[in-house]
Amino acid sequence: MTLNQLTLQEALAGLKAGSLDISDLYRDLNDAIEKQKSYNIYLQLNPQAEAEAKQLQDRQLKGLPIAVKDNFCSKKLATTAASKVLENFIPQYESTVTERLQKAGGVIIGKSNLDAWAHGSSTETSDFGPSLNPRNPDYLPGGSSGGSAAAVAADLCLAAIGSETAGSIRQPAAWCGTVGLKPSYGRVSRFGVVAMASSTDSPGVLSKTVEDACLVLNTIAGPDARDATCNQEPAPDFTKFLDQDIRGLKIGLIYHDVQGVEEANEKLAQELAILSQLGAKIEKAQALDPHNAIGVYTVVQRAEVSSNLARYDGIRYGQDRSYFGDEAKRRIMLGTYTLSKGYADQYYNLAQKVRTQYLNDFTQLFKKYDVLVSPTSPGFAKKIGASANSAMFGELEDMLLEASSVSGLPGINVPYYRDPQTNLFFGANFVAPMWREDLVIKVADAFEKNSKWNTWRNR
Amino acid sequence: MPIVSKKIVSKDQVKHIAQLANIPISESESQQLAKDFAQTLTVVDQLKTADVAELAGTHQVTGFKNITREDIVDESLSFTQEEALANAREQRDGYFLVPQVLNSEDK
Repeated sequence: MTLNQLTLQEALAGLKAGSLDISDLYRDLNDAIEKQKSYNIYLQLNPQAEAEAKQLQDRQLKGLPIAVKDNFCSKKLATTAASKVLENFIPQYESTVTERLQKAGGVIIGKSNLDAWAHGSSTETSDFGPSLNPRNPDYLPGGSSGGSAAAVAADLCLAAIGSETAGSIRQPAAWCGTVGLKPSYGRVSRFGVVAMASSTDSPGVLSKTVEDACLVLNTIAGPDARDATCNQEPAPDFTKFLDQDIRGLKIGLIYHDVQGVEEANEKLAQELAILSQLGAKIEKAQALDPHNAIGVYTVVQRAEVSSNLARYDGIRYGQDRSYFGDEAKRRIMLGTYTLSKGYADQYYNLAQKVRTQYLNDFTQLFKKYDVLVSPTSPGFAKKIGASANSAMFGELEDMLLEASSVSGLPGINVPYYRDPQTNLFFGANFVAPMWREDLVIKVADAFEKNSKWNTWRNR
Repeated sequence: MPIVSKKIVSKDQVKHIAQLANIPISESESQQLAKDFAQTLTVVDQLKTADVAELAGTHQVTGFKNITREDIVDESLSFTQEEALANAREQRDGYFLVPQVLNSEDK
């Protein structure tokens, strides 16, 4: 085993005990990054990483290397959002997330690849080429935080920062066999994140274990005066919710009868027996058909995109609007259409009403259940090239996540099956009411520690 | 799941939207975009079957209202002129250089 394969928690313990040398870890990490170059996981590496790490040994994260999705502004490094429009753009300010991460002793090892502007679920819309799935390079890592998920799965970092609007943390985590924690909307500040859909954008963590996700979330969550949508209540210590008793916890299994999800659902039902054995009560629950959530998300997201991407005029920074890729053009224009006179009622206002229907449905479900669970993705990772010729690729792959995303709920992906032929994973998505990250952490941690599917806990 | 497009979107409609969105597109792009639009709108049109006439729309999910701060300049949120211009494509005398909007005949 090489030192880059340690979990964040293991590396922290090693550094604390003096049994691990930070230089040795960076040596192994740099070797691994060099070897995996063809996977196109990082758009840019931080040349100062190791030097920075040595200065941070007295801080919480002790200089350990964290991958950061390239839609978080950081003063030192170019921030491109994987679009040619922002190629060579050097931000003049720091996002709250990267500021807090570095203050806590995290080192940005590199900026990870994503779908351009985070539009997509494959990384294939990146203007700098797709990333490959380290579990099997014939397949996609998912997206939009595909580079972050791949960086974790390939041990090219100890944890990663991603962002999710509807599935962009959890879906790539599922496809790459990692943990992906999407906090409640407003738990983590959006200040300095390249805006996509402002009413659902949620920064979060991709990691090797649930515990690692908590360690990173602890450093980035909490009030921020620079983001008015941020929860002004202090965030809890998320590690408090690890190793908890889940006896009596009520878990509703949703989307169990959705077409096209048969294999993932069958395996999930088997694996959830682990939670029953730990004393949780699991039963099938009936949630609102997720198909309409595709429409809601498509309309709301495009509308917000058309507004947010209006700022790219090539005057103050970046290139002009002719540099947008096909997917960004499609989304900006569809959003413009659904907001235009005569169509706003037919599309945008209707979508916001159906969004209310989903929120109400979750409110009802959470009267009966503490946590809801379903497969994260309808199936395994798709092959490289799969997103071509489908203007709706991402929306369909994220079908089981969109309802919870437009409702702002916290969710977490944990691996629950590995296909021995392809080495690809299924992931389970646990969802809880707004601000109840404690519940998803508690149940995901219990599942991870008692099942055999987490690569790092079962090596 | 393949999507069969039931909507028809014309090339001219696409060109009009492109103009509104200030997105330069070619003739062949407008043809492809019309197809993509039709595919997407077919999915979106399913929303019309939802029984939501009585519901109000959801525009935000946190329920937070009137989040304000003191009206005091925060230097940490301000750019110096140099920083503001650091990524500008063209600048002159400390200003952004922008495309001409009015031409001399409009005087």
